[in-house]
Amino acid sequence: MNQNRFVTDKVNILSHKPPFAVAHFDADAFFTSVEQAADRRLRNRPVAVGGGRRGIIACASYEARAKGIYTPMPTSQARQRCPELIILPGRFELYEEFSQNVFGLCRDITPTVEQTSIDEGYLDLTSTQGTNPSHIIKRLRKLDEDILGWLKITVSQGLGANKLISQIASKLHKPHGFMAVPAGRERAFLATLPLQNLPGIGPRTLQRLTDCGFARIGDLLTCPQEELQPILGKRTEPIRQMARGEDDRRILPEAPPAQSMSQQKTFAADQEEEAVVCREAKILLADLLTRLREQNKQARTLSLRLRYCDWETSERHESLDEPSDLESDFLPLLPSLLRRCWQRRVRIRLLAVKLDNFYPSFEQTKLWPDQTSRRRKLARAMDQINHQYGPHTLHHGFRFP
Amino acid sequence: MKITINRDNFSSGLQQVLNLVPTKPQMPILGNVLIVTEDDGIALTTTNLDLGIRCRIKAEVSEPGQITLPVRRLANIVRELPHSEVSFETDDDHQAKLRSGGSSFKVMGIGEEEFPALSTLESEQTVVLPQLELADMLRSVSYAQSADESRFILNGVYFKLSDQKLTVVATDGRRLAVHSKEIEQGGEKEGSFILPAKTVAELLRQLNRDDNITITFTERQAAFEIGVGKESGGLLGNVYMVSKIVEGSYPNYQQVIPKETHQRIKLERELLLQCIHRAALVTSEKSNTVKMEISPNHLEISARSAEFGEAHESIAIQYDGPKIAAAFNPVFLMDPLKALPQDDVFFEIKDDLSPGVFKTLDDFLCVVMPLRLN
Repeated sequence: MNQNRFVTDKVNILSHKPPFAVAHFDADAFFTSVEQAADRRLRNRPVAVGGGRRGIIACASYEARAKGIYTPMPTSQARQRCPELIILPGRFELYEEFSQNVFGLCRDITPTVEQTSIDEGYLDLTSTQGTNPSHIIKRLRKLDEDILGWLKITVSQGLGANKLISQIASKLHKPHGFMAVPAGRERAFLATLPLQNLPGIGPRTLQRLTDCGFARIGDLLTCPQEELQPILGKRTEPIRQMARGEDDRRILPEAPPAQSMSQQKTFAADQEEEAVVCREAKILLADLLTRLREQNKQARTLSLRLRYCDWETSERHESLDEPSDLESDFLPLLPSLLRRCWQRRVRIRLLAVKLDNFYPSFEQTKLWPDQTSRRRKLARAMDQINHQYGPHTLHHGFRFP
Repeated sequence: MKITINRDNFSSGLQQVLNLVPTKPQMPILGNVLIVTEDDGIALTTTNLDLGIRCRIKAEVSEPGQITLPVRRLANIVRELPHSEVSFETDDDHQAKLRSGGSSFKVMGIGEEEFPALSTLESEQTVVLPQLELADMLRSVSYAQSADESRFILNGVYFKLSDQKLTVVATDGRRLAVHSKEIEQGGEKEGSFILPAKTVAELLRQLNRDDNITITFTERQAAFEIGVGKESGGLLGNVYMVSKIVEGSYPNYQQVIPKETHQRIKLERELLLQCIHRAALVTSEKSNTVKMEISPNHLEISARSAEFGEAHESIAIQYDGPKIAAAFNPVFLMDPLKALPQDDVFFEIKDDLSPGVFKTLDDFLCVVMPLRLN
């Protein structure tokens, strides 16, 4: 970890004028860092968060990465490569709590914070008082110290004139890195970086560009546009714009509301029993509906996706006439949906349930209480009990095998 | 059968009975009108088995008889005939010949013995009242009938006769409209029935003359004798309607009417309707709700949807009670306001989650259940 990284960068930046006021931060190996922060015994040891016998590694600590563990690597392979690897099942409620704390600390230094994922986000520092670069860096240093001191995890930060630059900068010196790109120096900053640093250049595009002799981001600007056209097609100009370091995306303090909600399960062994799969689908759906009710939403469309053991997938959906958040409305759709989805006589390895087509949850009250209002009351009472006494204190009978 | 009849009278008579005939009847006979000669005219009858209707029109009868003819086709022909005098005769093969000026038509019919007869109700349970009053009563409640066929009991208007009072009620479980009227007649008559929504609509179409209506009902049917008034357009006597009633018992509507008066405000009906209508312009399928906020001397109606934006409407009112804010489906608020003829209405409410109640000075009320915004 570079203790003086703020100081060294400060020298570079102070010689240039503002505005460069977009910071991007990205927590380092977030899930495992949280586990290591929560349990001292895990620190400095190879740790990974991932699924059971069939799952994949969702996150690997830097100690594990040093031993060749990466995301998404099948868990079995990870065990082979690093027998001393500690694999944890994942405690997402804990990660969300840490995430909320990280974003809370960010909001202490600026109100304009855009959360792009559980552990990543942008801060707009332009609008806060004092656009003096040294003040901004001081603030970011304070944020870094607070996150490390209080939460015992590290983040990497990038500072630049726009989202693109700050995002690229934050990823350059992970873990616990900091990089600031002075205003006006974006093009020069990008020019020497390898192509894969540019968002939007995936493995396939990278391969084609490499085959044509492109290696660095700067190369995209030095060659005539006509040469790039056959490789990038319609994306030529947007990608060149990015290569010039231009990006006018605004920081959106509130994430747009989720358009759908889904949950999936990979079976420990490929499954052929319809009853077992259907029960699993019911459990996934019941969990989704609890989340839906928590967010005061109702959904109209239920989708079912399954992956056969040969990795082919199949998906079907069905909509209710009126939106609902109740098991009694959605559960009866499942058996026929599963039959329509599971057409091949092949075992399945993964099952996913999705709810979408969301509506705000208005409840038209009734003159005479009917079955729906009684069921909604029951569902809310169950949710409340499970919230108070822990998940599954009270649950539907179909959870029993 | 041989008659001479005025074209316009014939046409208006057919229009009276045409409406309940489906365009594609289940049986051919149900697409026909039964024409029967009487002393001073003819009777026209149609039925769809649930509802039947008969009217009588003036005609010169030279040879009595009866026949059934396809009613829609016949109505189209009669309307287009060139001369106002029409001669109409039938032969033994159930064919009718129409002659008017230089036009002549031969129309194929079906024997009258195939036609299901309309029943005549014999019951003590009758009530007579001016038909325009009944029309007002029905209009003020009929919008609240349920269209949900799974709750068939609510697919109609409940008529209740008790204590020399006729009450009509409609509800779909989310709102309830009730209108009562004193009946000027003696006797200890009590009883009730549920009139199906389709009959209510047909009845409302017929109730437009300055004359009385006589309602008779039994446990299975209800009949209406609708006087045709002075400006009859060739109609004689009464228009007679007989309808099946919805079998079952109507829910106890009185238990859901708030008993106590809490906060009451007087509102100009037209103004309130316009304000709710305007506010509802920004609502969407996903957020179909308007909020009514009552505070001292001020009523604010607002609506908001993520897709379109928001609207605020202000009305000055006389009110000095506590602040109340409740959300409603705008349609449920507008329906009674559209149907009522009065200039002023009263709105009563207790708190944010209690029903809102519209009332008028004429023994009318409409209970509207609020939306709970979770």
